[in-house]
Amino acid sequence: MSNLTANEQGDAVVQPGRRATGIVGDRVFRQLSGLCALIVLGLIMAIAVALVIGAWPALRQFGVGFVTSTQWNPVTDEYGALVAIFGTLASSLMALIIAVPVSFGIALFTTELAPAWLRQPISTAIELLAAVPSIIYGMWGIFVFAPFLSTWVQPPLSRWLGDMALLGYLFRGPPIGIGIFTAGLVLSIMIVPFITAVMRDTFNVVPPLLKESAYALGATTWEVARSVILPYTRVGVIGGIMLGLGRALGETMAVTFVIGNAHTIPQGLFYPGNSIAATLANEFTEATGELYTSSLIALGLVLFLITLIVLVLARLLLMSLAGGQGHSEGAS
Amino acid sequence: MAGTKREVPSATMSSDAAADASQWRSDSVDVADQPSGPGHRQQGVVARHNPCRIAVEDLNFYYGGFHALKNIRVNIVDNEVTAFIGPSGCGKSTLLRCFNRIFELYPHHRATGTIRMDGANLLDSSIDLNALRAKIGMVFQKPTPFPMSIHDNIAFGVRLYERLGRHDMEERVEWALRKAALWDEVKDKLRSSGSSLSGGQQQRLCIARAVAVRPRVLLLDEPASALDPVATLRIEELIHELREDYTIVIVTHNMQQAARVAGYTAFFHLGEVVEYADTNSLFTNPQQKRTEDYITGRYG
Amino acid sequence: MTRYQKRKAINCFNMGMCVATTAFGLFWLMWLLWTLVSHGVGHLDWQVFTRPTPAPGNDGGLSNAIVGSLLVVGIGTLVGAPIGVLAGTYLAEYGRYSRLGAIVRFFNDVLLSVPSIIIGLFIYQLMVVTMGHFSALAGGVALALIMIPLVLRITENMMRLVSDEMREAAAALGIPRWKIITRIVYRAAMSGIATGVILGIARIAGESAPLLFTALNNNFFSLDVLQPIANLPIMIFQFALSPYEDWHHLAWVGAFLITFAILALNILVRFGLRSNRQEQ
Repeated sequence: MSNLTANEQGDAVVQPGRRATGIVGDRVFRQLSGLCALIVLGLIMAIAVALVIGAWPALRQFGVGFVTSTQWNPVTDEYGALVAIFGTLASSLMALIIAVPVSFGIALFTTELAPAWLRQPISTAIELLAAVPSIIYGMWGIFVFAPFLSTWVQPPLSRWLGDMALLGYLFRGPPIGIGIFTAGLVLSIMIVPFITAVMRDTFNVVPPLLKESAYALGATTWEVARSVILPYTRVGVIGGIMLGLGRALGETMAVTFVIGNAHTIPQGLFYPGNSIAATLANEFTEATGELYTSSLIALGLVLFLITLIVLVLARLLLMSLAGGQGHSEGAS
Repeated sequence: MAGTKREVPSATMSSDAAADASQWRSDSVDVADQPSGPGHRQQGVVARHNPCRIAVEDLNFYYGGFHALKNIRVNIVDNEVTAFIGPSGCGKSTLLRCFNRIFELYPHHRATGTIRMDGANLLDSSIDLNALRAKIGMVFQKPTPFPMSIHDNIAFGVRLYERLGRHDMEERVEWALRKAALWDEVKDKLRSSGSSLSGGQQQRLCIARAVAVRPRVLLLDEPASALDPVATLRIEELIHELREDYTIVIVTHNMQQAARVAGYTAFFHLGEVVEYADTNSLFTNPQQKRTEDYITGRYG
Repeated sequence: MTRYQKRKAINCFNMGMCVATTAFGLFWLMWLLWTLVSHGVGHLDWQVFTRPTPAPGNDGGLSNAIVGSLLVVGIGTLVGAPIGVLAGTYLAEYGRYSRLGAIVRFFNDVLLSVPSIIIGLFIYQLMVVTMGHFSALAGGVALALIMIPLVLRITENMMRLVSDEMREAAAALGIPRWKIITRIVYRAAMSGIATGVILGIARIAGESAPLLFTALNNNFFSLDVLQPIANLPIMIFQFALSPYEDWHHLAWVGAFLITFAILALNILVRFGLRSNRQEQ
């Protein structure tokens, strides 16, 4: 084995110009992976361009009026997006108002309160809510949840609260179980796992020492949560909320089943309405005529822009928060 | 540069040799003017007339805007152990990472100057990095076994450069593991994962892995700093044995370690080589105030 | 009430609310699953797997929809997973500090948040209009676009977890960069990347919105990727909204099958990942 000693090997010294090892493979692999990265970049551009091109006839015909008009009438070939935009925003907002406190509670429970053996199972179970396909939520919503609401929840709510001055708007309408109210509720269940997961992950990176210092001062669990955990993780918490909002805005099938598909501005949350995604799902394959199809694609463009705006706003918010505070690393 | 025959950076050289010796020390040390000192008494350490293996000239290194190494001039002696010591952040690891240009994995890391080995400037852009790194092995601070079996950890690098038969490969693996004094401990579990070994064993596996591709030079970046004293001792013994076959450069924060394993030692401070001499002179008779302060513990 | 008692009372109340919200969340999961089991299991028999979807009033099963779903999801995975993994590789390895990397990362987040129905709309314009008809291929590509950003993100994160020391050690041996990536970094990040791909499959398997305008539906058994194809989500959508009782039953069976398949994938991945972590 003596022939293996280092000094006896051939004098293949390092020389410039020697055949480079692995250079070709390196270049190919680098360009291949770079190409795939560029595909992602190109996709967004392509989606935006395709939507604009498809929506162009409608935008030319209706101009800005497209987003301010409540008319949506295939018979007269007049299209306005306001009803769908309203339904999308109203149902998403309602979903957020319910889902944020619920998610906060669950995240706090699984990081601070629950005994160690229970944390993982509960977290997994909540995450499974996100794995259930949205069409299942829709089916369950229309066949099980809507009848339940119309029998047990909506009548008493509108009887007790429907006549109140402003708040009453929320609980007004026919107790038929489908409408903006139901869509918002179903959406809230669907986005809880997303918000919870982000909150839980950020709560988990709060340094134990920080929490212990607060406990050592005699703070209660709630006071630690409110004064230590929440301020420390607020960047992440906001990120989670925005993620949930994005989900809710674009959710299609579940909403399609339960929102009611009515092209009128609802007079109360119990009234049926429509959302952008639901309108697309219901009408796109049956749309005839260039203007109809184009208007539907224009609706898609509006939805694309809304989610983009939410994402960019969230980014800007996160950046300004992270800039002002030293501990953003726990958040992303 | 291979003509640098004088082994000791002694102060008792002829003026001719002293000029030569200026290569051994950084420019900040005015060797020629030094009076005769006890430095030359340790000639036994370096009496083997080894030529210079790597010559560093005017090396500057930048991390983005930070000037981390300033006009470094160091000659690394063939078949010897050279230690780089100094406080953390002094640039000793940075210089080590220039020899195999591993710093180029990161953007904004930039080196200028020359590092001459076998007649080529290693910093030249025409150098084939992978071939260079096959000639210059490196072992890192933390053991980094690849996510594969002990056998494959070693065979992986070899396969890139040599087409060995099954039998030859087994031999090579055994040879490398014996070199790293690990063979007896792992010969029965070559197929188990490299990460199943203890920290000290993992580090010796990394040394075996580096040795297996038969480099000329071994760079050791604080190879024992993550190990317990017993494992550290084994690594030091190993370095002592490997010195026979390789030119070794070791970065260490542990001065006793440098004294134990190295024939030459360079003291780094704030991106400069303050003093470079054979180990005994440097520790017993430092020529520079800063070196003295550091080795006597008065630094900082 | 003293100040201390008040603080304690507030704490008790809020902690009680935490327990209540958790129960609230679990309650929905239980209700959903119970609904699926009670409506779906009763009509589950072999015929479901052996016979195609029937006309109203006739006997039939879901074989064409099940096979069609597998086909479309298969296409989506074959197209989406490699692109996602390679793009993630680019971000984690080559483009980690570069401007292009940052831009791609941001656009990937955008793609991740694009509603799936918009993806369907896009593929409709890109492939259905140009080819002139709906097809399984278009459906598969639409699903791939949903999978790519998910797989990309998980791949990048998992590869970043592999320490730089590992890459340095490999590079110091003279191993070319692409071999470091394919042979060492991939291997170290394997379980994480596999998890990402499986979660991606689980995600697209339940997607219906992007298939509405791309794969459409087909009441007959078909394996032709250039023709419209039956698939479970769209079948559920059409059957559930139909007026026929027996179609409702089949829709519930389909819902039961698809949901539990997806949940099983999710749970498998979680257990797999945990046992893998314990090994290391």
